[in-house]
Amino acid sequence: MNSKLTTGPATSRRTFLQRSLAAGGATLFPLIVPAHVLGRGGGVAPSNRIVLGGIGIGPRGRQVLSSIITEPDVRYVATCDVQATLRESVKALADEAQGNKDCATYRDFRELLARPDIDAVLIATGDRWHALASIHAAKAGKDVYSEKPCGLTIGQCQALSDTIRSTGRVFQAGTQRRNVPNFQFAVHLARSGKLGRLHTMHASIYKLEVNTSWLPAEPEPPRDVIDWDLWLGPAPWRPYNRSYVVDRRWRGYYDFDSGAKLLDWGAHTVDICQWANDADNTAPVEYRPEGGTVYARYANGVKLVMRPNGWIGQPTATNGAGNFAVGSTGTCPVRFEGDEGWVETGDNGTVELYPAALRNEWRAFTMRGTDPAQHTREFLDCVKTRALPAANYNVMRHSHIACHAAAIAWQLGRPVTFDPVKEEFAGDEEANRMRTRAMREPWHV
Amino acid sequence: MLALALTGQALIAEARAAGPDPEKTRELVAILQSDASLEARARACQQLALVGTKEAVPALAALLGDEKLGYYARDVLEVMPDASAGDALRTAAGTLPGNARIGVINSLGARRDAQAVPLLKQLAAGPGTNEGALASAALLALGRIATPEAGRAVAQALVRGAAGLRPAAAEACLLAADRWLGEGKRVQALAHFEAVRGAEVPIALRAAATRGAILARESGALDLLIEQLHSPELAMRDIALRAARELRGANVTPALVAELDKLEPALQALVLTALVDRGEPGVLGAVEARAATANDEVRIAAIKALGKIGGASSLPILFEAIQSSRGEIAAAALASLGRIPARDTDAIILKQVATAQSGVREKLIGVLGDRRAESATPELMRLALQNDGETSKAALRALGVVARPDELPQLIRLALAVQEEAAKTLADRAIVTTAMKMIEPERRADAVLAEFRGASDPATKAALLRPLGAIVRSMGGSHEVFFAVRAALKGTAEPVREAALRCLAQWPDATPATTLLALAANEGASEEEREVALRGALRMAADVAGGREVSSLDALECFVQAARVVRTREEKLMLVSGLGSVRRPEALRLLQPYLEDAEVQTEAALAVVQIAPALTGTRSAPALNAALERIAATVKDEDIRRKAARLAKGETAPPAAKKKAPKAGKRNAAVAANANAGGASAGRQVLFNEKNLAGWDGDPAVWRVRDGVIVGGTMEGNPRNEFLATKRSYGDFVLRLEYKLVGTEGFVNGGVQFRSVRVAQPPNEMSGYQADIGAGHSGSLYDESRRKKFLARATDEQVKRLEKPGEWNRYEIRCEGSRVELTLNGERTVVYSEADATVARAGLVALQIHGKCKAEISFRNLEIEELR
Repeated sequence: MNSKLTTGPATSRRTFLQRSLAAGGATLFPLIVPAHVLGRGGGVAPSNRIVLGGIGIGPRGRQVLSSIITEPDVRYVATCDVQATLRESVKALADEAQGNKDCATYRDFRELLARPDIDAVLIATGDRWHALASIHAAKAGKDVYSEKPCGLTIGQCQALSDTIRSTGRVFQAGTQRRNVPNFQFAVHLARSGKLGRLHTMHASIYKLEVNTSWLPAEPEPPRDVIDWDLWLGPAPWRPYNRSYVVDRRWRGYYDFDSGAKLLDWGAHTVDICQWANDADNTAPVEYRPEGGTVYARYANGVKLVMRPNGWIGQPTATNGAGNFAVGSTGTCPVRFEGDEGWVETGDNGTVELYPAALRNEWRAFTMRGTDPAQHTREFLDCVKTRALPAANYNVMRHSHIACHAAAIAWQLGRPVTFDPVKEEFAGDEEANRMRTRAMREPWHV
Repeated sequence: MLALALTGQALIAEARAAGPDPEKTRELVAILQSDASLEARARACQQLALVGTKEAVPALAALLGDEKLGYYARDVLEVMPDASAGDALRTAAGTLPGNARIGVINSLGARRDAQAVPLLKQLAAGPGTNEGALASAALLALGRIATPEAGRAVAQALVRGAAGLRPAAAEACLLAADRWLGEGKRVQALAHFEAVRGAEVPIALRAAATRGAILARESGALDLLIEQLHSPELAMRDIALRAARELRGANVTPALVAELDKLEPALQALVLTALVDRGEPGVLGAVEARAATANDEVRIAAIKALGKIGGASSLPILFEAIQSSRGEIAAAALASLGRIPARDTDAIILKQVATAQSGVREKLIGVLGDRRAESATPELMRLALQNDGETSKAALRALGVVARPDELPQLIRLALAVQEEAAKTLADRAIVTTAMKMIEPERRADAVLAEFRGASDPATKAALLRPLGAIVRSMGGSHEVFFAVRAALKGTAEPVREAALRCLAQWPDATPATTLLALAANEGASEEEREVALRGALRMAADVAGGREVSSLDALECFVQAARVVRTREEKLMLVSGLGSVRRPEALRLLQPYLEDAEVQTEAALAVVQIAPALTGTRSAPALNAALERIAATVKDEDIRRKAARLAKGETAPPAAKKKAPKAGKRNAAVAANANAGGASAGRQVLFNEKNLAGWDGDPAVWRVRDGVIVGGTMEGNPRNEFLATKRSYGDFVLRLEYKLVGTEGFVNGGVQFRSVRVAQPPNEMSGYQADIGAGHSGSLYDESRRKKFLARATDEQVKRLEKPGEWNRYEIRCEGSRVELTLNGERTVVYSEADATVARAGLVALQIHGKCKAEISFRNLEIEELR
């Protein structure tokens, strides 16, 4: 198959550093590209420039891309999508931003990954593709920024985490709230003991839902317009309907979405709770569903309450205050309660806390929780230094697995017990079967 | 029968029993073998994946070759622990064609099926492969299974197999070796890592193998790591930097430190960063040396590292570096000083500030702010008063960060003492940010308000109004501050009056609107005062009329008053555009003269067009049509002309919108909204939603909501009677409410009007029955502004016994036909029968605070039950 539609030249940190140190090595690309040819970011030495490609760049992908493409040390040279309209519109956006025509387009991500000049990829496909595309990228030697949820099952998250670790790649999960100041502040209060002994955490989640129906079959469009087989990828086959693809109405479907939608927000909020509880290497051991809420407990006794949006903080008896309006902190709120105080924050930057003395460390937080700017910047820095970013593979693994375990408990409609070391449910065949799902042939992790 | 399309928890709820379920299995298999739709059979498989027993295996095995359902069947067999599932997959792996076979091989790998190894070995080596895809899949399955035999097979394939299969063989070797490394089988793992390292495979795989080899080696790991640091290949240097963070052992950190000087600068900087990430001691010396003098790239990395691991000995280096002429170095040093974890850093920086030269001093002061150095507050306050403008400003900026709310009094005095205008602004800002640190929103203005009240000097009072106004704007309004600022309007000192007026004109809600209008109409006001006040009031009225603010302010009344005093074109514009949101006949009357006014004709026309749909079919229709026709004939803007012409012809909103118009529908909606707000039972309506004064009319400068309670009047003095009235009238009803009246001076009194009307002059008064409250009259029925006398009285003994002065008391008012009853705290005090048939039997309900007293009245739990 040949779906490489256009290509452009590229000079990268990779090719440049390779040559500058390899004596007499073959040169694949012109050695020196004059700064003015590079347009934006021409002031950044080629040795510091990161060459980036994107896979499945939709609305969220564009938000992330627009925060990356404005960095002076980035060149976005390739974009891949199974939809022709999307790959063309992203190319147009990138070319416009970079003042050239260099962004190549691909239908099949494997061809993009085969390009030796690309250092890193941004993956923002639908959830069903995240883990597999990330794994392919890592094996091809690319660093990865992947939107969340990064894996559709516990098994996918394990395989992704293992692959990133063993290939030595830099991986940043798109859980950008790790790099948003008000969330960092709330976590700091919890971890530094300023709330006393932490006992309960609250993580907002989407309303839980599983939809197993199929939309009516429609004729498949030509492959170079929409490649339905590649859109499905590792997901179970079902007949084509444009609504999944063009309208992006795949959320909530058991075959395409993760954990009964719990991970849509849980991947962010549970992740922040894991961090606050210093639990980045573990997960809760008990999960009890009740209505739309899942109550979980860590081995250290700390409780984690996952419940839907429209979430209101519940002040405990010890705090004596806490009457604030619904949603006063915005979307994706988290709340940490200790025996000496509590803190709650969300996407609009507001921080509610008790006692007032905690506010001495507070400052005005203006960055929104949905803003990935600092998160992508950290990723780019780590591509250079090879350090672990904030939402690295290990952080992703445990917070995603915690979410999946909670979603499994909810889907089963009964409590489950989880062993975070073995990453399995204790003597519970039914729950354990739900840890993995087969991938449609020929795909595998 | 199982439902097809399941949502919610139903996926599992149908098979709730924990674990495999034979009965469900039989039902599901029956579906599989029926002629049910594809979707139904796919669903049956997905449920079997969770509850299926081995009895399902034959039916599933039969489906494995099915183009559409093969995947679904395999999905079940992959997760089913029973051995028969593995048997079925192995059988299929030997027979199925194409992709289906690859899928089955993948599943055998996922199951880590040791019995499949011989078969997979054959497939990995066998001829007739689908361009290597089948053999590759078999190799990867073997790598995943990772028994010793499988391990040998993949290693052999790497060495002796077809060149095209080498990458797959290498991946398989890495899979097995990673597993073994995790299980502590280092020797076994190392052999495979080394094999891949030496193979002709893509560099990404060799790099991964190199990492594995470094971690698996018992000896020589460090040598291999350092060798890779010197590799000409970026991928290898990158992997060394990763392994430098992962490799454990006491000798690693010292060896890497020793290696630093042998590396070219860019790499040296990266290794330095990796060393810091290792978090082990023995690095600081090397970092400090490079932070002091080194190649710029290395130096910057070292300076950044000091921000993470620096100690007291690092501070002089950073002090030196912030003076560097290289901007990047100075910036890195400042950032590191802002976070360095060394003890006593704040105190040392403070000392440094004392001797630092101008330029550096300001930077160091900024660092104190970055560090949230609370202990520096006294010194920062001293510095803020220094003559050097830049130092003073830097100190004020830092104070905005470090000062605590309990230090506000000192901060306020400081703000009053600074001279320079720019410094004053910064001082005010510091006050505001510090005040906003208070956790209780309603207390954020307290400190500045206390100083404001206590100040006698007009200049001080005027100066304090700036931060006070800014705090109120940040906190979103405060009646306590409003009353104080309004009082200042009446002061004698010109600067105070002016500052108070500006403060009120910029108020974040509509509270001062009536106050500002009165001022604008005052003949003694200067032109500037009139202008500021009027514009403020017009903005507030427009916000309320446009629905941007919920307020009890009568926006139309504001516009009526404003219309009497508007002068400039801009004021007229504000007036007519605000009226465009008032969909009432009075608005049309107010707009009409402006249709003739060349300055604002277009905007007035637009406003008329906006309100026209609400007025068609009302008594104002003739006037409206005349206006529209005039607009259609004269206004310049074509779009407006066209719209006016259409409206004049009776083409209004689409029919759907018209249906909503009937009055009854509106009322029902309002009742429903009330019921929703308070959750009252059927028949009873909650009159007050505990959040805002929606549904009420009254001066927001007098009436407000505090802690879910309606409050009227102030302890600072109430000049005249004020009423908060419902927007609709009630005839026969039972009204229940609780009131609390507190006061200090004057005629401390209030009441509850019913079956009442507002009177035209003076506009603050009402006429009708009043259930009296306070001044000894509680429980009595008074006739306000009408007969001006008590119609029936509670006895003094009753009032004394029943009422709890200054606390919450319950009132029940019952009106049925001519009969009026009042009940105070459960005891009937008045039964009155109206003899005068001309007295209205319906009207507004209203809450009163009496004039000429210093008092506050509160109402809560207001509920009305209409009879019949």
